[in-house]
Amino acid sequence: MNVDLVLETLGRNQVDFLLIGGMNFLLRHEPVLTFDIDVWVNDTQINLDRCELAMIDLDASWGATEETWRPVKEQTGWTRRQSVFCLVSPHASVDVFRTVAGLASWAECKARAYKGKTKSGVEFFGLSDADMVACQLALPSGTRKYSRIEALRKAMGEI
Amino acid sequence: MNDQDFQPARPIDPALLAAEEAKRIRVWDREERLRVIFETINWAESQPGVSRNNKESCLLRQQEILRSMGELPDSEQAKS
Repeated sequence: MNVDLVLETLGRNQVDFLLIGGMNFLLRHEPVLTFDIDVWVNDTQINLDRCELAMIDLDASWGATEETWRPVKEQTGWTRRQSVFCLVSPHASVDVFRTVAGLASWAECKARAYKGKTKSGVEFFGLSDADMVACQLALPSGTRKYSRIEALRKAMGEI
Repeated sequence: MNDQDFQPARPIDPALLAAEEAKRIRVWDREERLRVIFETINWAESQPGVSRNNKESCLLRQQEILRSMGELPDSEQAKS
C-alpha cells in the first residue's frame, strides 16, 4: 500500500525521519481526513542525501517553480534549497520538513518519539503527543487544530 | 552530494509552506491526484483503530457536529 511504501522506502534508505502531521495523529489517536504524509527529517548533510535517494525510489517530483518542476532523479541537492518541500509521487503526496515550528531539536524529539507499526508491519517513529501539541501551539491561532489539541491533551491526561 | 557550504534549514515561513502546497496542486494531474488521495484514504481506513466507518466513529462525529450547531444530540436530550 502507498503509505507503507513511503515509510518502508525512507527506512530502507536509512533516512532519519519522524512521522508528523495528520497521518501521525491518525495512526496514534483518531481518524482524521488527511491526504499527505508529513515527515520531519534530521537536518544533516548525509541524511538529506539519503532523503533525496529515497524520493528517487518513490519516483517523486519537485521544482522550485512550476516551470522547473521535474522528477527528483534529474536533480541533486534540491533538499538544500529551502526548509520544506511538497512533493508529488505516484504513491502518495509527501511533505518533507527540515525544521518544524515549535520544535527545536530533531534529536530530542526522536528520543521522545513513539515506535509505531502499520498493519502490514512497517515500523516508523512518530512524533510524541507532547511534541504534537507543541507544533500546534506554534501555529498562528487561526490555523491551529483545536480538536486535535484537545484529543492529545486528553491522551496525556492533562484534561 | 559533497557540499562544503551546508547550511542548516531556517525556521519555516508559513507562507512558504502554503506556496509549496499550492504549487503541488497546480502541477499535479487532477485525476492522478484523486487516485493517490483515494489510495491514501483506503490505506488509512485499513489501519487498526482508524476506521471512520463504524457506529462509534459515526456517533462521535455526529455529536461533535450537532454540538457545533448548538443542538443537543438525542442521547443527551433524553437525559435532560
